[in-house]
Order: sequence, then C-alpha cells, then structure tokens
Amino acid sequence: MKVVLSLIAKEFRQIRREKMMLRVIIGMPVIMLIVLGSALTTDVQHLATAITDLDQSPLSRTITESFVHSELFDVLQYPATPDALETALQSGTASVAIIIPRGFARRVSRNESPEIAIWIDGVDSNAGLIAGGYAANLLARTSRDIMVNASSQSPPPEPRFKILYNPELESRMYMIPGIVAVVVLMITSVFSSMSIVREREVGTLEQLMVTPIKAWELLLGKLLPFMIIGFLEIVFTLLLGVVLFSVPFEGSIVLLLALSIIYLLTTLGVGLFVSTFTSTQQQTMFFTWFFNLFALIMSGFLFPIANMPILLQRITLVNPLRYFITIIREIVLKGATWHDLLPQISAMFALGSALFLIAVLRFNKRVE
Amino acid sequence: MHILRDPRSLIILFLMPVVMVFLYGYAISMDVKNIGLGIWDADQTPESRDLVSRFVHSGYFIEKGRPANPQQANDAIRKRQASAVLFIPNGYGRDLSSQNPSPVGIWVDGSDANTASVIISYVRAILATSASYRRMGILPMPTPGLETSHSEEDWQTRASASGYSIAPFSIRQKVFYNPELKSSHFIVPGLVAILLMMICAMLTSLAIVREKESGTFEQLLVSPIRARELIIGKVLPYLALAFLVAVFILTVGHLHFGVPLMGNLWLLAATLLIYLFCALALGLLISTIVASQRLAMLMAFTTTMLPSVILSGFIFPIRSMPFLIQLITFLVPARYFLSVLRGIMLKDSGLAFLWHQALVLLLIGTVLITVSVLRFRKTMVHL
Repeated sequence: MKVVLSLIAKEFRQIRREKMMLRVIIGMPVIMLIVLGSALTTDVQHLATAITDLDQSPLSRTITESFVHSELFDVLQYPATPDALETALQSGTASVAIIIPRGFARRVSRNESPEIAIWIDGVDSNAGLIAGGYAANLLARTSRDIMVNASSQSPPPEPRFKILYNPELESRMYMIPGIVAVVVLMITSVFSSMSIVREREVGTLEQLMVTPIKAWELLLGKLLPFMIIGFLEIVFTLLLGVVLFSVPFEGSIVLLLALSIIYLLTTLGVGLFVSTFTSTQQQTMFFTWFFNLFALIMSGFLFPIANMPILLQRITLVNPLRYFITIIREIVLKGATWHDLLPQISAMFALGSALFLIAVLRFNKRVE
Repeated sequence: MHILRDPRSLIILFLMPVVMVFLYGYAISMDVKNIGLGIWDADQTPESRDLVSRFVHSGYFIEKGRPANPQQANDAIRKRQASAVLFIPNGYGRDLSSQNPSPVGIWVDGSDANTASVIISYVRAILATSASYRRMGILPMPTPGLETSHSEEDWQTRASASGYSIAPFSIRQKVFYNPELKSSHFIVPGLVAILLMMICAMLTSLAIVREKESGTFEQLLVSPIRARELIIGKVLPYLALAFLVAVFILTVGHLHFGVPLMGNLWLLAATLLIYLFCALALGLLISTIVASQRLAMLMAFTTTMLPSVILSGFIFPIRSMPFLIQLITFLVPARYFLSVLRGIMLKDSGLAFLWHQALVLLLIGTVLITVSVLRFRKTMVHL
C-alpha cells in the first residue's frame, strides 16, 4: 500500500508542476458550462426573414404583422421586388422569404384562394425544414382566423399543457447534467492514456517496471490519481451547475456519486485500453479523441437516440456515456431512484467492468 | 515530418472524416419522431377515439400505456415510459357541439426542452385537425413537415359555417440551393472546416510541444536556425497535409454524397488557404502557452474543436443563441469560413458576397500570428 501511495503522490507532484494543468482542469468545465449551456439550442428562433408585400392591403399587412410579432422570425428587410428578395437569400442576409402577390386581398374575398410563396434557404437543411414548417404554421393560423372570424361560432378552447420537471422549458437544464458527464469523460480518458504513454515514451515506465513494484501497484498508482481528479471534477461541475445555473437537484446525491465511481471506472478503462496499443502520445491523442467524438455523437447528449436509424441505435448500446448521461439527467432533473434506473445501471456496470478487465489484462501482458 | 512515419495516425487522419460524415449524416436529425404517448381517454366516445387515432396515425406518436389517473400519468413520465400523456376529459364528445367544449389536457416531460417544445407544436397541429374545427368547417392548411392525414371526408365536411368553400389562401414553398434538403450538403462543408481546424491547430501545437517535452526544441534553438525558418519548417508540412485532407473530404462528399461544387474552385482554394493560416496561427499560439502534449491536446480541444463545432453555425443556428454568445461567435474563424464555403459550394456566390468574410478571416489570422510570434520570441530570449 505504501508503494501505491508514493506512486500516487508522484503523480500529483507531476500534475502540480504543470501550472497550466490546474487551470485547464478548472477552466474547462466552466467554459463548457457557459458556452454549451447556453449556445446549444437546436431550437430555431429569430430566423432572418425578408417579406415582399406586393399587395399592400390591410390583409397583407396583417400577415406581415403576424411575422413581425412572432418570436421565431426576425423580419429584417422588406425588399421591393422578388429579385431583390432572391439576392437577400443568396447573400445570406435572409434565410426565409415571403412573397404576398399583387391583388391578394381581393382574391381572398372572391374565394379564389391565391398563393403565398415561401422561399427557404436550404443550405442548412434542418433549419430550412423547420423554418418552412414554422412559416406554414403561422400562415395556416392566419387562414384559420379568417375563417373563424367569418363564421359565427367561437373557436374551440386551447388545450391545457402541463409541463413536468422543467416548466420554463430551458434547454440548459437538460444540457448541464450532460456536460458533467462529457467533461469527466474527456479529462479522465485523455489524462490516463496520455500519462501512461508519456512515461513509456520517455522511458520511465520501463524504469518503474524493473523496480520491485508489482504490476497491480503500478496500475493503481497510475489510475487512482485520475479517479480522484475525475471525482472532484464531477462534484465541482455539478456544484457550478446548481449554484451558477440554478439547475435543480431533485435526486439522491449519494446515489449519483456512487454511480459516478462506476462511470469513472469505465472512462479510465477506455484510457488504459487505448494506452495498451499505442506507442506515442500523438497516436494516443488520435485514438482517445476519436473515441470521445464517437461517444459524444452516439450518446444522446446532443442528438436524441430515438431519432437515429435502428442500426445506429444499436451501436449506442455499447457506449458507456449513453448510460451515464441518462442516469445523471434522470437523477438531477427527475429525482429518479436506483430502482428506476436499474437497466442503465446494470448495463453500465457490465460494460465498465468488462472494458476495465480487458484493459488491465492487456496492460499486465505488456508489462511482463 | 514525424507523422508520415506513423501509419496508424495517418490512417485515422483519413478514416475519421469518412466515419464522421456518415455518423453526422445519419445521427443528426432534429425532427422528433416516435414520441411515446400515454393515452388517458376518460370519455370513450367515438369522438374521443377519433382524436386518439389522429395522434397515433400522425406518424409522430406511438401509443405507450393507458394511464387511468393522474398518479399513473405522472409515473409514466417519471419512469420515461412516455414523453407525453394525452388526457381526454369525460364529456369531450358530448360537449363538442356546445358553446363551451371542454379542453383536452397534455402532460409533457419538460426535461428535454427541445423535444418538449416540438411535442407541443405537434399537439397543436394535430388538434387543429380535430373534430371541433372540422365541425366549424375550418380546414387546416396542409403543413409541410407534418403529416396531418386529410381523408376525403375532411374535404367533404368543409361545407361551411364560415362561408369559405376552400381555404382562404394557400402556400407554395420553394427551397433554394438544396431543394431536397439533404443534410450531407450542409454537413460536408462543416466537416471540412472542423477537421482542418483540428489538424492544423491540434497537430501543430502538439508537434512543437513534443519537441519541447523531449528537449529537442532547445537543440533547434541553439542551432543557427532563425525563428522564422523554424516556424515555417514546423508549419508547412501540416499545411500540406491539411490541404490534402480537405481535398479528400470534398472529393468524397462530391462523389459519394453528391454535394454540389457550384462555385469557383480557385476562390475556394484561396479562402481555404486563408483559413488554414488562421488555424495554424492558433496552433502556434497554443504551443507557446502550454508545456505538455496532454495539455496541448485539451487546450486545442476546448479552444478550436468545440467552438468550431458549436459556435460556427455548423449545426446550431447562431441566431438562436443568446446575444452574448452570438458576440463570441464573431471570434470563431470557422464561422466565417463556413459561410464562405457553403456560399461557394452550394450557392455559387462570388467574391462580391464573400469578400468581407474573407477579410475578417485574414485579420484574425494576422492578429493571432503576431501575438504568437511575439510570445515565441520572448520564450527564446528566456532560454
């Protein structure tokens, strides 16, 4: 045990010697929380809109007004001709364009159903799709209002929505627990793999091996420091989220911390695993980075898993991040108990211990 | 040139873009489908069943459970069996034709705010096709992007209390530049920007830091090589490599995914070089700040990768971000490059539309390189 302790002390001394290290460990979650917590909204809002109203009637102005008052559209310009409108799309100053044809109001009153044209900049296909839908919805509502006004009946009542868990629908409540999982994955997998490979590159790993230190002591001495750092990082980032971003913490903190340890075992297993088949730090960086990127996309952190094609959905089953992201979100936002999360917990545990075991076996083989 | 001696890294370098195009191309889909919907029909009349079937057949909702009291409805959402629960009150069918019909209720899991707001808009659109509106003779306009089943009967019942025999006006939608709304068309240019940033900034910073770590940097410094030559020697190989990777991604994107290359290729190459210059300058700057490779990697990740993915407009629309974050995006080189690239590739935009973006890129690059050369000189004096 003494050997392990002194190895741990050595590792921390090395970390402390790098002044920037501490700044990165503390700075990274802060930056990610601030930037990701507020920038990651796939909500399409404030669409740059241009309207060409060739009719200039009270009805066409009502339609223009409905776009101006909608939060989804920012009507920035009123080009006089369709040609000018197309230039706005081309230059990117507008991504949605509406054209109300000449004689529009007159033809509506004659029941001729004239056409309003919506032009969409399709370059960003997702935003384009959503923008088209929003514009059509808004126009549909205007069309419905015209009919409701013309009839004598009152419109049916609005549905009553009851939103559970995040009544203001703020996306950062959902993002921040996810960010905790992602930051910890990046820091622990990068540091553990890189620090082992660095010692191998410089040659100090061989020096350690010829000393009477046993393989498991060496391993423990290498991994425990990053386990501790990872654990503190989770606590720190969560605290930041709760205090600065007022994320509610509904569930049991003890449960979350206990599950974090299983998660850390997995992420360190990834780092260790990568280090067993790479020989330079550059290689290690590539593999770790590649894994992180893959884990990020396939975790449901940004893109809901349920929307992916079935094949990709199956691939996400081997992604440890997927399970921890669900666990941390459910515990933080909904106060889920271990009973609710049993499938996630057992999957993460099985995956983590298998990964860790394989990595340790490969590491031992290399050491011998 | 160390990297050529390392075939594993090279393979990853060329394999990664392909894997990423596929993953991004398929995994990123913002439209929400297969929403689990709990159904609590307390009415059990033909009208209420009609409403339920409108939800189930919309293509967006899948029936998940039949809660029968508020407790069960809450539980279904808490245990993630359903993302929403539809409640049809007793008397819904009877009151439809009365002056005060009873409203339906919807529980929504708000923890994923984006999905929740999509669900709410779907619910509104489906309710707009419901019996209460049809009874008034009010027809929903066919909405692009949302399958609201219009049966023949819908069109017949429009005989109308409102006096309109057809919808007052209709909509014609036209999509420019990417008429089929293929996501690969906007992901491929984005990937070029991101991978170039990664290769240039990350690899350059790593390369220099590696020499620092192993002590060979000092050897180079005491040799009669001048700082300028040293930097150029370190940077040029990666510039060439990055250029190659860019051509590779564009070729794969063009041939396999059919991404158009409409504009002037010389203009594309020129802006590519300006962007590479920016990225390399950023890498140099990082290498003057950190002392170990693992730190260089994390720094490069937080200062180049993340902003290029998130703050460039690659996936997340900049105009939806809070104002402060929008200001930050002005500092992200990928933002400018991305709009230039998309402009040239998809819109055939000329210099007239793009010169100011290119100019800003050049400006950012110049500032970065000046700062890093100054810092670099300082380190050399210290040694």
